[in-house]
Amino acid sequence: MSEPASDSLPERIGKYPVLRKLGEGATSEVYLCHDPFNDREVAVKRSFPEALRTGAGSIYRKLFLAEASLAGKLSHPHIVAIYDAVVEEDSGYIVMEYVAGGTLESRTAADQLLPIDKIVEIIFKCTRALAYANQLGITHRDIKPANILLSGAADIKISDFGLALSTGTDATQVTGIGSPAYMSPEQIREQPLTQQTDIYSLGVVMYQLLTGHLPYQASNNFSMIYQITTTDPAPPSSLREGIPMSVDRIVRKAMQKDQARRYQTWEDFAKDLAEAFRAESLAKKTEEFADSEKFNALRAMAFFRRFSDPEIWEVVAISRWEKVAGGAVLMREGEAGDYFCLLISGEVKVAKNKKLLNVLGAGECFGEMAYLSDSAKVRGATVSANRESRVVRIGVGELVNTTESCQLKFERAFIGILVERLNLANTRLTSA
Amino acid sequence: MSETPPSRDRVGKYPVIKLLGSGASSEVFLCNDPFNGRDVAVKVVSTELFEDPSQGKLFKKLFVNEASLAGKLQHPHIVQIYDAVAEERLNYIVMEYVDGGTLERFCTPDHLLPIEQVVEMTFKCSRALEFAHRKGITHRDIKPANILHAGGSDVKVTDFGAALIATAETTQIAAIGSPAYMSPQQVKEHPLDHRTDIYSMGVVMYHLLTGRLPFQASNNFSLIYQITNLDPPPPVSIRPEIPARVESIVMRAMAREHDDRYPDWGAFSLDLAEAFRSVYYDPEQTGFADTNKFETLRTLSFFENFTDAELWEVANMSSWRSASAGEVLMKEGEPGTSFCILAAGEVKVTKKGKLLNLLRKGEAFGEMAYLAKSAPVRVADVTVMGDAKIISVPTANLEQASASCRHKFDRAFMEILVERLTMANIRLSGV
Repeated sequence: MSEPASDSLPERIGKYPVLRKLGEGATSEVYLCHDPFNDREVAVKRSFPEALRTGAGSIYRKLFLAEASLAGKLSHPHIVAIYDAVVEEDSGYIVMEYVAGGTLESRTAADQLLPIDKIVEIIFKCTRALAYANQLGITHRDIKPANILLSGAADIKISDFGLALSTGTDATQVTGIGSPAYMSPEQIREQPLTQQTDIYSLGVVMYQLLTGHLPYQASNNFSMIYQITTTDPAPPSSLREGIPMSVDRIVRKAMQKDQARRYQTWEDFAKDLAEAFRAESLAKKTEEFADSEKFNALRAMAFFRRFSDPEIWEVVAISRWEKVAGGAVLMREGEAGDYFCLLISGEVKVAKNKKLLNVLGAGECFGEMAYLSDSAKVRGATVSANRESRVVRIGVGELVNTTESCQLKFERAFIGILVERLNLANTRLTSA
Repeated sequence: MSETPPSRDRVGKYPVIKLLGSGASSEVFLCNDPFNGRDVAVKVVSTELFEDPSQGKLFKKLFVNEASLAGKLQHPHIVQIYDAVAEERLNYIVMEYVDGGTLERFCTPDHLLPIEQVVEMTFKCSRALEFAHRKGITHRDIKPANILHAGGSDVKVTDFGAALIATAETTQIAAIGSPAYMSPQQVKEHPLDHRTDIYSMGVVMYHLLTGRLPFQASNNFSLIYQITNLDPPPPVSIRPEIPARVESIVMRAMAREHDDRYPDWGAFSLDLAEAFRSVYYDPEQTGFADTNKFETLRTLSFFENFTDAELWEVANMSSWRSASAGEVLMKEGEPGTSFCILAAGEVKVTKKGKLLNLLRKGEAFGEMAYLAKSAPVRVADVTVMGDAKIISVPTANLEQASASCRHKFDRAFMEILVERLTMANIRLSGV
């Protein structure tokens, strides 16, 4: 991406006044624009594809809009939102969420590499986001570091979904003039594509983030294509110290040429990443919980069964996690409290006036009266850990800031619990 | 409307399907929004204000800002604004498309609506305008042409936020435009608040009831004189069947002095609802009017945290009926696909003849159909004790409601469940 000359800056694209150019490729440009009606900054990607100037123009226009409109239905914290798409006489543009942090491209240089645990986290988030897209029937087809935006420490947003068809040719031209570096063997052979093509490409991205090298080095595209379809890359651990065997294996499996031996689904890929993270020394270095660990812990709980992936990520973002030792007091009778807790592992006891009321295990919640009743802001009992436990805290104040669909899921989950408890109480009453 | 409007095949990114209407400084097109896959109404505004060399830019900015503010109004009786664009030579607002025309066509003596329908429509407008007022927005251009007809007695107020442009423009074209719906304060160019809209709404109501404008004049100077100095002829002198209560509402909304006019939308809509009840509500009839449903919902404790917009959703998704003593509403073992809220009267809940509970106005029953995860079957009988009014909400309809409306139902049910659980625990620990 070359530094744009300021004299070429258009005043506006469609209704959007242009603030500055963010980047450009052979047949497309990305601008930072202002959306006056919604009063927010947006990224507008304008492309001038050859197809618009040929006889296929009208079919192309329909496809462009249909793809963008479909991709616009993806609503996920790790996917760049598409707000609008317009096709004009000789160009088309797509209006997207603006993410300020740059792309993963900068983290593929040998002297800029990320720590291995961060890379596993990032790839994990990508797999879950791509799994979500796949559930809606959308394949990306152009996964590469330039299409993964960085927002914050280990947070990412995948961009250019569904635009593979409409802007794909161009995008390939940008990376080293038509480099097929991230393409799967079946993509090179122009075979029908499934989610596995994206799995392969993400494997290449992971390889490059880990080592600072592309898996295949070639002086020309013919050589590159030959290698992609016939040779095996050197294992990442041979290029960087400290890469665990399990991570090597994951990259190899994601990049298998034979689709039958590659990960079949995003879920399998994600599961291996999470396990590698847990099993290896990666996680032990720190007392912190990794996002992937939080996500998986919540995903596995009955309480969150009806939550969608994006909603689970919302909970990850607003929750506080802690590991407590046996005997630690988590809530004290009579104290004010504006949060409730879910027990991930371990055991806690609930006592009132030193009288034991209940013992709770993994998956159960406590302190939920703070959420259920507007009047009950004071703890009615004391909760303490029986042994080492992992606890998630969710503030009632933070919950209000989540999306309405996320709040609805919490309500439904608590209603389920209340109905269950009420049935139990009624049974005890009638049998008494 | 001297020149024929230029034919367009698109406005901005929106392909034009057809021209819906045009006025002195605007045209409205039916367009397609390809990205969102829906029909929209696009109003193209051309005013000399935008061409002004020194102020043009400022007016364009105000135009978008006002539309953006109005776009935040989400209400079933307000036309939703989706987008607003001010470009070099093209300025337009993109709105929800309502296929039903405006109230203008009900303003002639040969096309008058039944009186109760006028009361219903005015009631809905008054609640929608109160909603806007609470968000700090005054309309300032209430007239039949700005109220769209969405079938039955359903209406949608439009052209919010066009307010600034409209007033600036209206003043300029006062010589040709008509101030017929303007309040005396607006004619005198006094500072305006929601009470100017109340006045204009009164004029609209007068027009819909009688088929005539309250003041007849051959020129605008005479009209302005009448608006600021005279009382209009009583509506009943034009349409004799207008009830006294309805007439007094029109006259109070149209009072020249602020002190005599309704001070707020709440008072206006309350009078409308009461007039409706006393004149048109017939307990023998099974039909319930929307006004009645809305006002009833507002009094029930179950709905105390619902907004107006949400209450309208409830009114639309529920079915209402009267039931007399002895009628069995639910039977144990039957499948349940709806829950009920008691709007009036009393019901008893029994299981195998044993009394479990007595429920009164505002209480819910049969809600396990909605709350329980597994296939819902009624676990008790519900029988009417004294003549009752029952609001029934099919759970399938609730699943289709807006997220905010479902959210309010959930919170209300949660409150009930917590209460019952607390009671049960007290009884358990007491045993």
